[in-house]
Amino acid sequence: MLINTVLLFLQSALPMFIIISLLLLRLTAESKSIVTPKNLIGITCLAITLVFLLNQTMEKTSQLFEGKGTEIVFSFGFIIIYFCSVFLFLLNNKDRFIKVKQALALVIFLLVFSLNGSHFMLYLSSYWTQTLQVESAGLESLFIGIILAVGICVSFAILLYFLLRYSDLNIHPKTSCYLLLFFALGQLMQSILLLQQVDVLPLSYSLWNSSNFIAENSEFGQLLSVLFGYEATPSFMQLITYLTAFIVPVLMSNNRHFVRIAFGEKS
Amino acid sequence: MIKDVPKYCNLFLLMSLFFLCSPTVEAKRPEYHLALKKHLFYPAQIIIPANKKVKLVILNYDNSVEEFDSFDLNREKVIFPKQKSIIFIGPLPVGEYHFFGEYHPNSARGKVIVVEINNTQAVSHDALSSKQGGLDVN
Repeated sequence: MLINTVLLFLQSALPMFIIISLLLLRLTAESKSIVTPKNLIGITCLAITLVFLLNQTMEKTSQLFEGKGTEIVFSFGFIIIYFCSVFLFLLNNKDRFIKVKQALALVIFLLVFSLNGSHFMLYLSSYWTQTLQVESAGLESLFIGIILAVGICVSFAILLYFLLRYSDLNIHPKTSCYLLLFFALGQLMQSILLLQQVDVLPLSYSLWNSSNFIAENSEFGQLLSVLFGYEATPSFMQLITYLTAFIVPVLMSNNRHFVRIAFGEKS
Repeated sequence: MIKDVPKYCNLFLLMSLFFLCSPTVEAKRPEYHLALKKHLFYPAQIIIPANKKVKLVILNYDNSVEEFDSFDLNREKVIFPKQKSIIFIGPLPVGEYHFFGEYHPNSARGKVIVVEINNTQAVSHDALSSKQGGLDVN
């Protein structure tokens, strides 16, 4: 139960903590920051309301499109997260497009929070009620597991924030941008997996199986999955999509012609 | 606000819309049924043909939420009480693929057995279905 709860947190809640670190890093770098106490309270309330609404409607959503509703709705959300993150990655000029970047960051935060949060709430409430029915000692394990997992997630998010800030200043100025892109790739991989699960995208054989090396259901595997979209048994489609979804934005951001257009410079 | 966005982002926006609106076609797949009652899967094992994509219909007769989970099949699906859920698996090579209910991993367990079927054997999906037994859940 203890390990299950920790894994549950890493799977569902860690993306929320990581995206907070990444977006804080991107947005506090702006001259007109969106991160003010008033905004934070408002955005948090909005995110919690969305989590609650999505959690309440999840059962009905699951029955849409002949039982494929959850996958289709969630994958749509994950795809939007990817594209918004890519736009944020491309608009990497410090003091330009601030309003656009703030809007994109808000969409990413709300989607990540509501999609992962609603799943997490469902797991937690189900675990909670079913543990109470089966064994009273399970409640203690669940409680300790939650405290441990929150500690891991918060510690990791803070460590990531300071590491990336250091890296942005001293090693490579776009480190946090690239990590945001990798995070978005992870979300995109989830959407592909969900769409393959309900046969909206074609299923195919796995290209390799690295489960013996890093199991996807292990703590480290979950972390890699959230940070980089790690997949132990990727299909050909997943691999091609991953590479394309990474290479295209990187090429666009490095293309001098695009950069000149973006920043209004004359050739 | 949008007017300020660089032109190359418009290209990416077009790509995004194309990706989001791309049409999908679903082919008819062999169908297999799985029921969940009293936190047990019926049947506990399903035999499916190798190298074929199949549709797995899971019915939850219990009053609690369960999650169909399989690391071998790379599938995860929440099944709400008294509801039906659908997932697609395969094409898979010959072998055994375990699955379990995440909330009752000790009782709700089962496996998908993938077997080779060649044309000369002329074994149909109905024959496979009869091999694995009925859904005795009532």
